[in-house]
Amino acid sequence: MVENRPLATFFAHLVLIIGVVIVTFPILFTLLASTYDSSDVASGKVGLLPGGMGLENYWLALTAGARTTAQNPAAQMLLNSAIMAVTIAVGKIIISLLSAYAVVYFRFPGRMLCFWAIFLTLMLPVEVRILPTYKVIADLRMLDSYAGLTIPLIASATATLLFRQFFMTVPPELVEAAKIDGAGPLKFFRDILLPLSVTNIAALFVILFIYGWNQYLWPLLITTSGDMDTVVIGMKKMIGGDDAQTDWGIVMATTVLAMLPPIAVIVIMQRWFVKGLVDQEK
Amino acid sequence: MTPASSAKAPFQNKLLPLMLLLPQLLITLVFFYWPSVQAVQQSLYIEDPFGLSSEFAGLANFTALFKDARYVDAFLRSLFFSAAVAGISLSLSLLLAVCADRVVRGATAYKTLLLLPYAIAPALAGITWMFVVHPSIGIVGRAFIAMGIEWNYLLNGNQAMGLVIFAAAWKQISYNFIFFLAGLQSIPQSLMEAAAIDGAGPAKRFRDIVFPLLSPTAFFLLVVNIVYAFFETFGVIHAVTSGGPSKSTEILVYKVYSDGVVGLDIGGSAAQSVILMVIVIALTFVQFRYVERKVHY
Amino acid sequence: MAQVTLDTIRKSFGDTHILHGISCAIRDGEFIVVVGPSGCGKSTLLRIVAGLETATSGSITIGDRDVTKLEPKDRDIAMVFQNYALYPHMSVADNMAYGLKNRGMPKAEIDIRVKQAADILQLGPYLARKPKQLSGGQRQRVAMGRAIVREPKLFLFDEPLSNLDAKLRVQMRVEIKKLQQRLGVTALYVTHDQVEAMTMADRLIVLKDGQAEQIGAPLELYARPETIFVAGFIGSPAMNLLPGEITEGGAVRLTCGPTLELIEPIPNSAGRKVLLGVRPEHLSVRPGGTFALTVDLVEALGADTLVYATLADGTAFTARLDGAQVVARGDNLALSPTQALHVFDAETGKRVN
Repeated sequence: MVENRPLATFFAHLVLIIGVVIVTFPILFTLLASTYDSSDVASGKVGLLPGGMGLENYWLALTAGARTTAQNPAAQMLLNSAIMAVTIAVGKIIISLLSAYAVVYFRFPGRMLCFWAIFLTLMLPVEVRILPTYKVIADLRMLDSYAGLTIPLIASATATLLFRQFFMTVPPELVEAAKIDGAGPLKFFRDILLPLSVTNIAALFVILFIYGWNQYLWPLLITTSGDMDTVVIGMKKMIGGDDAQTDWGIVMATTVLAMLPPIAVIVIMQRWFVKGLVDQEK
Repeated sequence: MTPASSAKAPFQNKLLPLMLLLPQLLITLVFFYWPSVQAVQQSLYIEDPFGLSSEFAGLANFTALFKDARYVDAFLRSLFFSAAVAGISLSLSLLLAVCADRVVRGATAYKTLLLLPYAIAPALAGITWMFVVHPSIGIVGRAFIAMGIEWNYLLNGNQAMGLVIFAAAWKQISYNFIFFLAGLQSIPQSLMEAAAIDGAGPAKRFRDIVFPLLSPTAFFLLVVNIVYAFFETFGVIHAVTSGGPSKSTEILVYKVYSDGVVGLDIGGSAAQSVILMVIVIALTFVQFRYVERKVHY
Repeated sequence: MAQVTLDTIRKSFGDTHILHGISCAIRDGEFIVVVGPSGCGKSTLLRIVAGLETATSGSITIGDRDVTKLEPKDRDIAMVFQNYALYPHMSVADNMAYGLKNRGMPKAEIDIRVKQAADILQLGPYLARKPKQLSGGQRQRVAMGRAIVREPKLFLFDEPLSNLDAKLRVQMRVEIKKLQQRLGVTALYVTHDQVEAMTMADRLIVLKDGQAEQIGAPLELYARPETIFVAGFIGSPAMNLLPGEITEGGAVRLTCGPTLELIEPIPNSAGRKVLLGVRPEHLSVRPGGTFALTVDLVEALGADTLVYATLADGTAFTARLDGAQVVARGDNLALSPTQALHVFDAETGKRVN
């Protein structure tokens, strides 16, 4: 800031602290509640200090699931979520790298058509074509399968646009130098373009991992069997019934487990994530 | 350097690029375009729930929708919901970004913590806030009751709406915060110093310099937030209220889902899909104007 | 090492003609500089020789091979780019080695060549660094290194010094020229800087609007420019060009007054409109001299003094006088030419004497 105003700085800190409290409050509350016995949670005894049931709740959540609603253990659901998130992130990155490379570095008949076909999918989110998409998956016998959970989400206009835009900032002399150095299209891609894209790939991985982990409508449509539940869907099923019956301690522990991986990814890879998110819209 | 250098493609192959594009195009055609075309087609037919017969109905599905008070209600509710979510989320995150831009000490910690909601699924954002305000288990819900408020979002539609709006807005704070902060930090310090020398105090500088320079970011975020509130909040609604109590939180995406998947009204649901499609297309076009220079070939 | 022949190279995009048929026979080991203002087509010419663009018509021979249709990698050339085009993620050594690796050269031999090039360019201590960690001059040398390890038949330079500061530019100019002489490799060098062109070239190609105005040794072009463009482009400060016409006796009568006799009068051209060229440095102060001037501005450089003045009719006129000459603003001077004058046809721009 231009001038030094202690009062304004104090006020800024105050606002930020209130903001942080609001932003972290439900996460902290869930974390605290996950350390209490189910009946204590149900009767509103969760305070600002952790209870004594933490280890037990997490162990039960991972291995057995909620006792009253007969759900699957969280371990299986976490695995499903991880498979879904990683497959979608990696798949989207690979597919988008290839498409962007084709569109930027080659001229061929139908190039603009391909570009627009990819670009326009931005306007067709799952939410606007729920039933017919479900039918296509059913016809292809991909319901209740990892393939059905992941492959249809792998196409990505945003990732393709991001890579395209990055490739266009690579100086054209680099390709020319590579051609004079005897590199063909695949060699140039592997030896030069891919290593240069590493930061972008890392950034996109964070965003896409979170995107995949947090999917809701899609797994809700595609999976019916409990074995295929992702942890977010499993969560919802756990709290579906009567409040008095809900095994709250386990529910809270499962919620924490469901939030943990994306939070870990975002905190560990914060720098790339912020860059990737902002670049995506540049 | 010369126009010629951009006019010539680096590589001459014709088949290779098509091979590279093939996976993306295939997925796009099978899982995006084919279902979308079907949605449009189905919206023009009336089919019985068992799929035994269907007949061409023109725009009957659409006119029926707009005669249906429930649909019109859901439509208006969606507008209100989106405006509220976008408004709350944008104003909170702008305030936080302005403060974060100002502080030096603890800046990294603030930023990291303010990013957390981005990591959390909309459904979980809804569920965790539901825990907090739950009338019997939630610390805040119990406090409301202790204060004598008749608090039960499971019975009171307005309270339920307030809850999903707040949870949905909360989830979006991180995203908006990142962009506002990036926008603020891209304003050159020299510009602020020049304004200070010209005699503008902090408030005036915000109004005359920061705000105009930030307005493209704000506009872009507004569109993104509306799209988010319209479509991506499905998880919040489904997980927390399932559209209830008595439809009071039923927004358009939720209604498409419940009419189609639960109610099996194929034609009606398809017509709703088509209307949503038109909304996304309109919003994308608005956003497109903003990103024009980026996608311009 | 090879001789290179450019035969009527043309390039056009639709109706836009970038190059109008450039021909030049380059001798083995010769340093040719293509010089011209921006947009004249010089970079396009270089890129066509490199194979990065295809000519609309014409042919290129390097050594005994017609390379017109070959890919860049098969032409046995190396190129130094304006922005160096170093691979940012590779070390200096890998940058130099990449082209050799792609040609399947054994690793041991690559190492020897990279080592040699690094010694020549004093890059030894930097071989493990990334381009980002180098100064502009060092990057420039890496780009040179990448070219020389290949031991190509032809070096191509695309304004390689324009990203350097003035001092470094002068230094690298000398280094490049020395290196080229030492290796004896034929070189084609593109620049817009006429000083660079004059100092480095064995022969110059002056390009304007896609046409070769003149091809020749630097001093040849200086002493006898064939067109008004070359006359104005080569030499600094630029030649004075004064309008006039040919008299019955074959002399030049200037619009501003004086009539100048030529050493070889121009016959049968009375009334022809011409431009008379006088280099600023080919003038001396002489009482009652040909050009009567009023001095507007003086730049004393020490060794010589630049005088910016106006003739009686208001035409601007520049002179470069001996540094000992004391001149001040407002002085009236009389100058006479000391060397042969240049006469150009006012319409065609071609030399007439």
